[in-house]
Amino acid sequence: MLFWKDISLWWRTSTAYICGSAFLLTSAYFFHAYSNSYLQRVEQYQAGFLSESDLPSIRDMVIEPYLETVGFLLVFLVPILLLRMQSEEQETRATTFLFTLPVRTSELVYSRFCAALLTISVLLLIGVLPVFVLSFLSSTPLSAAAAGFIGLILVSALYLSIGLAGTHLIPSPVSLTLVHCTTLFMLYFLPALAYQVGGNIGVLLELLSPVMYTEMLFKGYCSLNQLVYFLVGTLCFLNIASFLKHKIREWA
Amino acid sequence: MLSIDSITKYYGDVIALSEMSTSLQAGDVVGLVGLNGAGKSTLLKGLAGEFAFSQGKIVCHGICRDADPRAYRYLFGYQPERPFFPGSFTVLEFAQFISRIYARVDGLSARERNSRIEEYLDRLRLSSFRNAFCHELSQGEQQRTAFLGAVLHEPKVLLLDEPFNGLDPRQMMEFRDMISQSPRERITILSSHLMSEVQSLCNRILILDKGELVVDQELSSLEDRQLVEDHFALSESISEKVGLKSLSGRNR
Repeated sequence: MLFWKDISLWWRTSTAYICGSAFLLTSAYFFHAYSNSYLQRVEQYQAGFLSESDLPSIRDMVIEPYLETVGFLLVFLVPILLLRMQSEEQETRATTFLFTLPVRTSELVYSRFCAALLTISVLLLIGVLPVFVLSFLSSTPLSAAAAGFIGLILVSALYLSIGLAGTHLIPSPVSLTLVHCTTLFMLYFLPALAYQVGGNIGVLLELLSPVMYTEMLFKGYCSLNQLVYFLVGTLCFLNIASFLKHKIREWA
Repeated sequence: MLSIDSITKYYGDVIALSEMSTSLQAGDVVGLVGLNGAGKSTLLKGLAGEFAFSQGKIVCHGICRDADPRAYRYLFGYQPERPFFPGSFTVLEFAQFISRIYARVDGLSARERNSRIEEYLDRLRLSSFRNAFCHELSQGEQQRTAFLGAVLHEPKVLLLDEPFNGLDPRQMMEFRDMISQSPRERITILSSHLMSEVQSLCNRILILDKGELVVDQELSSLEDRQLVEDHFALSESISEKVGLKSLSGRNR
């Protein structure tokens, strides 16, 4: 029931549809761009300018870069989604009301997390649908598209949990969005920083970056390491969020 | 049976409630009176479980607030000064949301819950608004909906924070009827600036001044204003503002 409360909070506002449409239109634009670029290569091949060995596969030229782009768009989508939920909550002072009901603090955090993740998953499913269709038509294994979709959901879950932990440290929704976006940017570009730093610290930074794990998923390779990384990271931040919310509830 | 023992609440360095103790019996309808900032809302919010008191102990029907907060919260129904409606719910959805949350404790079946919702919607004359969004209702209707949320699980203790705020005389009369129809074994605590309402509804009065409980008496024993002033050292300004003068005058 808490879950449906959070779902209603998002889907009954015009912001949801504006943000959702913006995300899907941007994704569609990139899908179109990557597909066009691939078709140009095919035309070059058909005209004899390229040999068969130089013609990249749909998976390398459309599916993988498209999934990476959608993964990058999540750096913006997730904080905006949380911004909307946070402002709505502050406006209605819903949390203070919920604190008077017989619910556990962790339920409040997990229900919000699940509601936000479901919302993002629906958007991602629509966004990734062309990849499934393309995989089917081009006889590319569907498992590659499925692994990519799972990768996007896992990275969304991690980004959401980081944001939820932040909501209890930064009360202002706008500041939270900025800090959240910056943090996700830093995580996204951690491999580049790791490369600059080098050495053991570089290796450590690389291991901490979600990009390293999603890259393999977007290539269609799913392993236990990736799942462990995302699940441990997400649960860790969700527990921090629950702990902070509990402190707020007790000592407001 | 509600026992409040030496509760104190600090907001930073500011003391909002100081060493307050009282004991309320089943059937008590208590008027909580005091100037703005006296600590009325702090007391009600703390009793409802919105936050923990800095020190002190509350036991309701044998359940200590700190030992079992979830079971404790179940015993209370709270209507805040400004109604909060989590999510974008209609009146019916709000009632179902509240009812499902409490059902996890009282174990009511879906059928029993629905029949109770219908009963209360009828009783509070909200049936015709069942599909209206809570945030789009008039203030009086919002107050009634918030009251529905507070009484739906038939709490042992009902906390009403300024329930007459913003109501016209007819709505006030309706609200008075709703409160007076409460079960006999229920403890009701209502804060109000309107002494006439306290006088007509309550059998007991608590007067707070700057976070201190200065009067805790049966309303009938407040007939002699001089007695009140002598025993409880009420300042002239407070007794005038809460209407004790007019009360004593009328009773004489």
